[in-house]
Amino acid sequence: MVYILGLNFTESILVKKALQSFFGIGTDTSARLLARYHIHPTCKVGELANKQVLDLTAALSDMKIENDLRRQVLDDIKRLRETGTTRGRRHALGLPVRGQRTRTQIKTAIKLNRVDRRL
Amino acid sequence: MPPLLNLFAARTAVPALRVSAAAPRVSLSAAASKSHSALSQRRWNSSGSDGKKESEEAQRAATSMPHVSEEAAEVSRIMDKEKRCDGVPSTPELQQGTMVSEILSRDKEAAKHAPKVFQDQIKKAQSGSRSFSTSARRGQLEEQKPSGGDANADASDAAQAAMVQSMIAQVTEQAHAAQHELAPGLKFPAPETLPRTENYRSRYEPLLEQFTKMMMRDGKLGIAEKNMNFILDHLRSSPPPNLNPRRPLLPGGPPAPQLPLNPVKYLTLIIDSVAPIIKNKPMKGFTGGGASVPIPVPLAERQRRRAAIKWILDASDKRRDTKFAQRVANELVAVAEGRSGVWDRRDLVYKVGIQGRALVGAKPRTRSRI
Amino acid sequence: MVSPFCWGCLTPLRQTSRTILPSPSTAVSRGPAFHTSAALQFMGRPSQGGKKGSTVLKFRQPAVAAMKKKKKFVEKARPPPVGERKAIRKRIVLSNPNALEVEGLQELSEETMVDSRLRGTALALPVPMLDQLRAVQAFKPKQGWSIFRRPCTVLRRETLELGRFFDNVTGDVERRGAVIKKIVGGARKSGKSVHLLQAMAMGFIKKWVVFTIPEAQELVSATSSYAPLSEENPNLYVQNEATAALLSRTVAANKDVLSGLRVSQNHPTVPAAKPGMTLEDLAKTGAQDQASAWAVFQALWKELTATGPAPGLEKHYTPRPPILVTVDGLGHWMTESQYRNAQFKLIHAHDLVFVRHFLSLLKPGQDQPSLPNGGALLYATSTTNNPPYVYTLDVALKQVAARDAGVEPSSPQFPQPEPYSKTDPRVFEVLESPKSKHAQEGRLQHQILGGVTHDEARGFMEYFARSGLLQETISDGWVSEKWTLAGGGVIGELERIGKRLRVAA
Repeated sequence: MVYILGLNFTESILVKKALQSFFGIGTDTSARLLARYHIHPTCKVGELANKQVLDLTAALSDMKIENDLRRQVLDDIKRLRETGTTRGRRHALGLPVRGQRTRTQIKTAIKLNRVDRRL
Repeated sequence: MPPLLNLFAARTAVPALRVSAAAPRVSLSAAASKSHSALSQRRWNSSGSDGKKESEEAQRAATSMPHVSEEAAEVSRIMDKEKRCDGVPSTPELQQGTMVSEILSRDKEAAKHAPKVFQDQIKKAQSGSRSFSTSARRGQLEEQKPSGGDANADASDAAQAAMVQSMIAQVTEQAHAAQHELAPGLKFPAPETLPRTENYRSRYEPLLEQFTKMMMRDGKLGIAEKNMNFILDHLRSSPPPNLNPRRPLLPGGPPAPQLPLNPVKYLTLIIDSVAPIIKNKPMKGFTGGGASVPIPVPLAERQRRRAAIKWILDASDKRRDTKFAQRVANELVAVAEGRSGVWDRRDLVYKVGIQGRALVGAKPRTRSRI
Repeated sequence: MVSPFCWGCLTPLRQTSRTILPSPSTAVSRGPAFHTSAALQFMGRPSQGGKKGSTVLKFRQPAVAAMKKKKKFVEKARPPPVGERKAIRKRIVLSNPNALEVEGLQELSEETMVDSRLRGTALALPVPMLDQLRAVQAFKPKQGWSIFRRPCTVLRRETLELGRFFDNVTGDVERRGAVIKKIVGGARKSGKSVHLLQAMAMGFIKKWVVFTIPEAQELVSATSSYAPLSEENPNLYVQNEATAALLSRTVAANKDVLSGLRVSQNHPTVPAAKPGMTLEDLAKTGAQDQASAWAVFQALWKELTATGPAPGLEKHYTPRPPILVTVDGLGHWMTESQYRNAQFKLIHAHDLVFVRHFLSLLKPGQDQPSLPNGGALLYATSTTNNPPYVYTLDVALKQVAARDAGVEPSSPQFPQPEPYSKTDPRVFEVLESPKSKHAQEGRLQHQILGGVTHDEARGFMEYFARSGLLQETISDGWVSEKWTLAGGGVIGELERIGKRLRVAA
């Protein structure tokens, strides 16, 4: 078990996957993080040296991820809605925001977009 | 020229062979055993020393002169057809030139001063040795036969060891045998008919092809062939089967220790041994009330093999090995050793068939209409 | 237009009254045209629950309940344990007890490897050596060793030449210390990897130190750890894991040789290297401690290439044996690796010190030959496993061959890359090897393995026949037919023909 940013990861999973489990880190960000600390892409969490774990944790704590990022996104949506923009209205109506057609295939918008949007 | 004469003799010899090869198959079991005896005969033979060649040799010895009419035809061809442009009939010598070797054989003095290449050739031609050995093949064949599939098969290990030794000797001898049997003047041996598997369209044995295509899923023949290769390699390298006397393989095949050396034959033997000769077809109208009764129906060779392959593939699904090909290969060995449930499945088919055999050939009763 | 009367009975047909349809005006009158909450529309819907009424639809929930799919219960066998499939894939079987023992089979030995009378015969690899060859991963999974009684290789012309070289370097006083450097190329299945294997076997016979890199790709495919070499060299990268693996391979295979040699140089960077300890122990420390692997490897290399002892350590010094280095799959080292630097740029393979070290051996040494005690560098290219773009290597190898043939780089005959083609100058630079100042050091050559001759093909086929795998009479005509079918004696294709399964006629 290895702690990265206070979270516990089993040793057998890839570091790349462990990083991507944080909200706000995708394939590209994780790959760049790995490259910055010279960790090869197939490295497992258990193979990390202590220093590398600390480096990663330090880097992650500087980044805007998890709840900070969530809060920011929600604030942005809220701002859109309150200023009465079309995008804000679409968010509140549960309709797609970026000009997609609405005749079919708007399940994701129905599921996610609502007044009290959650992430 | 002597080689020409030999060719004529060969031409007369061929029809006799064709008759025997094309003999109609009498019954299923007879055909099966026949094909196996043919296989076992071939087993030791290489292309240079098979039965055809030997009989050809015999024929050649018997009729060293061509038929009268053929000779006449040949003479007329030379006299009439092959005239030179000025109308004078030519001789083969004039037309084709004389072989240097012939001149050298006539003229001893010239032979002494001939180039070294020619001298070597003459020497080689004189020490004629055959590509095949005529020694004691027959005895071995007889030795194999009684050990078909009974308890005799694994009677004595010593005999088997001796057999393996003789196999080694045989193979070594075959590899050594140089081919100098060409008559002088011929550069290449007479063309033979190509074996079926030399044609690229039918390059695999029929059974292999059938098995491979039955293993194929989603039309992926390449993967199926890879699996087939794995299976054959497994048969080649797994220890020889301990034959179960209660579940004998078909008689006429090679003894168990020799089976892995020819995996194709091994596979054929396994499939043919477990293949059912009948299937039970449910038919209505033999009993009252419209109930269907299984009636045994004979199967052709390809159908029988299909049934056996299907059973084997079904049984292999229940195994726990990692690889599909490994499962099938293990199941095949289990069939050879009589451990597989496929045998029981065949017994069941036969049992049902025996129950329904009274109705074979009977006409179903049709209800009379008023 | 449809008549309003039925033509059968002349009664007026019923007409749908337009008043039944909801008038758009009434719908509008219920609420404002635009609303943010859509509450009224929602309330206008009939409730789905009927009497129960408790199941309140969620906002925008589809009115029609989705059909529940029946889950099919499929009994799945447990997947095999982790690593088992890979183990099966990589398994190397070297013996088939069913195959016949070949009569009069000779083993590869000091005498047979130089005996030109044996050219074209299959020679067995000595059984005690198989462990060593396995340790250096000389055998590859798909080379088809598994159908024979024991692993054998054919003594072909190139093998004999190599054998003579090995013999000379060890035995002949004049040739002692000679070095050959070859890049082994050739068509697909022409026996490049087996040629390397034969070289390793000869190296073990002659008690050389054998370093092998069985898969060059593994060093650049970003599957093992890497780190910057030091603060001073931030652009060079060291691969400790791969280096430790190389050390452990080398120790396992060369145990006898290394245990007879002792540390006789000063190694300030490696505290573990104490004067007088055997090189085997030295290499083992590197294999066990990955962090120091690269330093230990450098120390080991310094020891093996030493021509004399350091002052004060004379009693530990014994003459060093020649070194054989083989690399398989050189193409992967001639492009960018999959590793990335801190700026997320791909690292060039030549910036990995491990790769750089072995490539630098191709250049002639400055003060002394690159292998001062003699030896051989055999780097094989691959035709089946190459990185996507190795055009530069193709041109560079042509240049190597031209330089070896005596063509001046300034002459118009000297091969040049196509204009406007994308080339990698570093590849040209690393393969550019001028003639060495030292007589013993050979020039870099590009050796192309072609097909075997008819005689060698015949020997090979006879080996199949004697193993009981091929049931044919081997005659000259038959062999030359198969030789042609095998693309002019390409040995891998011959093997395929030899083990082809058919029942005659």
